[in-house]
Amino acid sequence: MQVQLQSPPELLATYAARPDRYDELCQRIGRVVVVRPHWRDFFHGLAAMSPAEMAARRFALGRQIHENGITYNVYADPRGFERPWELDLLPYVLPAAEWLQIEAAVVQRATLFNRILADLYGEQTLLQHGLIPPALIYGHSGFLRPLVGAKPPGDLFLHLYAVDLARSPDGRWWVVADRTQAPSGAGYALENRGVVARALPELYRATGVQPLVPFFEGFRDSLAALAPADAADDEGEALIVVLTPGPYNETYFEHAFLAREMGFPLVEGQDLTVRDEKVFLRTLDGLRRVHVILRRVDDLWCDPLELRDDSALGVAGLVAAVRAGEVTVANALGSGILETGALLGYLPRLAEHLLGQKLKMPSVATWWCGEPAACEYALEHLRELVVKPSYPAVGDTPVFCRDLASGELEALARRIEARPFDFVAQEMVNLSQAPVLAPEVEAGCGLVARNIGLRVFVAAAPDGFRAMPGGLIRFASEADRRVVSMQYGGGSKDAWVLSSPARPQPVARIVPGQIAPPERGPRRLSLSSRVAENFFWLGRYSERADVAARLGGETLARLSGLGIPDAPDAAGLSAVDAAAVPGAGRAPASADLAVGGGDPTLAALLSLCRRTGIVLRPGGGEANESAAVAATGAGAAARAAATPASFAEALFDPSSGGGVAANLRQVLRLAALVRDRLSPDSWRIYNRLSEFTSASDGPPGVGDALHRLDEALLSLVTLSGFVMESMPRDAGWRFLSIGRRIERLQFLAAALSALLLTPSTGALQALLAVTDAELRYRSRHARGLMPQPVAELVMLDGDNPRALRYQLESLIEHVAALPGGAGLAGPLQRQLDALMSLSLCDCLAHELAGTAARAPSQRHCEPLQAVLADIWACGNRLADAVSQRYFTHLDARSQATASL
Amino acid sequence: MPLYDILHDTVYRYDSAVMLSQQIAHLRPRDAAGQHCLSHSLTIAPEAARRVERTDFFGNPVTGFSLYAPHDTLAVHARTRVHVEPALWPAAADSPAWEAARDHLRDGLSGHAPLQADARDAGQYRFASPFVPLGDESLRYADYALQSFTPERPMVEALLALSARIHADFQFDPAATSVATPVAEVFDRRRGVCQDFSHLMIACLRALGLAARYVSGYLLTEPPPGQPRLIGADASHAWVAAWCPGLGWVDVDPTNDVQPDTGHITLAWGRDYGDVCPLRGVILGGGGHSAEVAVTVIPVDEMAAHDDQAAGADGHAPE
Repeated sequence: MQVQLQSPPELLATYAARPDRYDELCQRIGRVVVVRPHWRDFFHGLAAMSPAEMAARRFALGRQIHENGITYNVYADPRGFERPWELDLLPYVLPAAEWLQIEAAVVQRATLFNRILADLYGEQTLLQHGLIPPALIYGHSGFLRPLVGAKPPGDLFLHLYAVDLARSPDGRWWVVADRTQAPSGAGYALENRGVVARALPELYRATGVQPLVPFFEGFRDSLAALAPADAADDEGEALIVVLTPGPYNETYFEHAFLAREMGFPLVEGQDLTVRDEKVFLRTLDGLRRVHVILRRVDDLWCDPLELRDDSALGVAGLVAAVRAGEVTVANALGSGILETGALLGYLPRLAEHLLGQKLKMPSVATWWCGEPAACEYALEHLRELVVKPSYPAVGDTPVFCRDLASGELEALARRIEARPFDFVAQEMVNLSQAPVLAPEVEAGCGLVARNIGLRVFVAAAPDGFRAMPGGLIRFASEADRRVVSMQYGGGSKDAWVLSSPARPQPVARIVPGQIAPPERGPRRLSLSSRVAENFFWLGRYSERADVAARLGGETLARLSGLGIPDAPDAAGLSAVDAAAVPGAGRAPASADLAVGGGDPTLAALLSLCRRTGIVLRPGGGEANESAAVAATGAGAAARAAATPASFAEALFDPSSGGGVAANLRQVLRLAALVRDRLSPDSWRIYNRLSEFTSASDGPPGVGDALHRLDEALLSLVTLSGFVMESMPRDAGWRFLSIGRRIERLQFLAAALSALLLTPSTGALQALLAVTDAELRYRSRHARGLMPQPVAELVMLDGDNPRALRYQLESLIEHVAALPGGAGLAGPLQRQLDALMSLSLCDCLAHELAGTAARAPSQRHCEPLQAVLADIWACGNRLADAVSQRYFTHLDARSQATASL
Repeated sequence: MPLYDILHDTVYRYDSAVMLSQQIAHLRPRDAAGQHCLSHSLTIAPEAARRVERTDFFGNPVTGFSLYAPHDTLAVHARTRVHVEPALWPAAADSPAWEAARDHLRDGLSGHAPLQADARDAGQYRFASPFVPLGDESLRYADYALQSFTPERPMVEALLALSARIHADFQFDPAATSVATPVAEVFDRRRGVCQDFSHLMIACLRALGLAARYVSGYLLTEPPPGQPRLIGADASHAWVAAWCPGLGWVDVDPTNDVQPDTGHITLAWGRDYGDVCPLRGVILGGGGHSAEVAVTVIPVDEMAAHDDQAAGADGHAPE
């Protein structure tokens, strides 16, 4: 049966096995290169695939990553903040027998680490007996003294543990690093499995791969079992949450993914509060007791009261809650201390001492320089070693000494001598290499060799520690790159552990990588206040962006002479008359008229732009307004409205006040904050909007600017339709709608105030344009533009979703549906009554068209202006009331205080 | 055998209401060599919804309390009676060479030799801590300290010499620094307050491989002759203790260049200010806030006079 490949097939034409590294795919026997037995099934399936077919599979895989929105955030990435996850089509294959050894070794290691943590945060006998040098613990900022003596349920400190393995040229596996506080990657591994198995379904089935899902199910059940004894709440069930630092964290996608897959709410520190040493989740319905926190926030940032007081990511009082045994944090606070490489050398004797066993898998040779003999060795062999800090420090990366100039090496040696406790020296590992699909798709899909590392995960299950059969393979970005890290631009692979006869594969699930829901089904929880607030602002900024695009476009067109000219009579009005028209207390300033060249419509539009914050004052601006924007924005704002080009520039300047780009930035920021609640399709449209938020090269031309505004508007309209169509009618949707309606209500009040009473047909036309009512008007009124029918359409039409009345009615309905929101509807109802009882005839009983055009007198307009001004103010009051009642604790950011 | 009554009053005033407040107080003096706390009361206004007494990692008494109702001021009044005996510091010249302390710690902490119980405790104070970072800048501290810590010099003698140099080289200047001023900046600008000088001296000692802890407490100040003691005119104080094998912890006050005696009352000790801050908390809301702290240390024989004065001044006597 053995197939020897005398001459490797075409796939391997570009694949170079190297003598100084272990090759995962091939082995050389004499002069013959042989594909290793455990790869053969897979490899032959692959070789049977045409290059075109493989390219298609790869394309499908890329598309799925995009559609699933799998990202990894790289802080300084020129390609942008959210980078698509890099995943190779080809899995990495590991035979069952070899896996059994790895599994035994990592499970032993997890057991050992758990015992070490229990000792360090308990009796500390290991320090007393010198089995761990006390300096490693006392000098480590991750040794959390406030947690000493806190005993977690079942003495379980480590719930999820990850370990990075590397294979040396002789084929042995070594441990390179341990991740003990909040390890990342397990979720990515699960997602990788789903994506790769879908891209290569027949190979996945034919190869016989151990599934990952039971691992996660065991982990989930174990967490549920760990709730403190009195966990039964009113629903008789423990509440488990995933605590994330938020969307700016590099692995936020994974936090959201794991929360969703395991059926736990995803929360941030601000969502939780501690009362009487108990942890609660703030929801719109009140506080809900939290029993278990699966945290992705690092140790020191978890509690600003007792740990780092500058942390905005944690929960004040969490440490006290843990000490009181009222909440279980996984992994236990303080478990990060075991991540120091300095500990590696002591593990063999610790395994003997604590487990009575030999350590099954060695760690990479490591010398902690605090030990004089080790320091001496490290200094003598420094050139061949990698130097790392013993204690974690921000920005510290391993130093590969062979890359250093001799002066630098000397300087490093002096630092080690001066502070030996602070340094660890490690042997370099020649990583093994595995096949990766060559990046050039059109070049025939050959394989290339890349250095790889394997991250393996171990989780507590109800019956003890269990390893995930597989893991996350990371490969280096270039052939000679030594570091495998997603932060350095490498890629990932799915790891397939072949099923063994001894361990029959459980019934295959239809969708690989999907965790079965717990028996009771996910519990229903009302929305957290923070999420509600984010939706509220998402609604507001979406509408602001919409307004900025519509009004900005209309104003820009007019400013560029593209608007419909006014009737001669109207245009002949003196500036003084026009300025006397009160625009809800803000008449078009004479500056606007000056810029508008005496065109009252343009003046009114510019005034409206200022009122809605799209641009600041023409020709300079008041000091406080200039100060409110960034220096570059201030410059743009100062020039804004002076010329079409500068107006367009201000619209697209992301740093300038309330232009299109600035509002869209807020939209994207908020969308990212609620992303786990948006459908993938809505997310794709949000992605499309991002192209409007980056500063363009030089000022856009007017034509180009109008085109871009149109495009942005199209995406926004698509989005609002999509979000509205795909969102469940829950509280999030309600707050999104309320935010949007308040914003539109205020815009309409301002627009009517500024444009309806401006005595020109152009202003009426502009009013219809910015309220998207032109078509509707024309279908109803064949005669020209007249104030009264325009007013009826934009103010009083109950069927027009862009009419003032519609906003009020809609808001009344929404607030009445909020928990305890009935009281908010009253003021809105009064505004609606006032609006409906207005006698438009008094104000607008004249016709502009024809020769009798005259400005309506101020007296007649007063009631209308007063109602519009009241409605505007009512919008502000409603926003404040909603904020106070539903999010108030979030307006008030927590802060640390201290006294001398 | 001095007996003191200590009044330590802290009042926070907030610009807007605080919805939720969680605080940790290090205001009850720990018992220490020659010092015993006879009575202590902590009054919190408005009253705390939750109050928990415990002992922290370093053995200091801690009061944790929380307020869950909106409030715009928070007042914390500590009233303490403490008994202090004269200190018995070892004769400076008789102490072991400072290198013995360094080597004893190094051998025990690196696992080279069994770790003695005393060195295990001292080891907590041997390393960098949040307010005393010791990266490459530690070489500068070591250079400065080595001028006092000459080879084979008796530990206590060297310690007092370093304290005297800090006192001479650095200027007391409350305007120069804040709680957040890093040690490295204090070292460069050569000015600061007791907290800064203590952190600096701790940095110097740890840079040499010695164990040094931060002591938070009070200092008795004498009013000018003929003047009455002013209530609230004192302040919290801080100084340093260094560890020496055989002798244990030796206190020294670099701000005043003295060895603490009956005028120094110890509240708490830790690795640095962050471990023993008298009152630290996290509030939700509040906007801006101001804190007023008034400390008075009164020898008990003066107490009667003080009571009269206080009653006359604001109409009520302290508890």
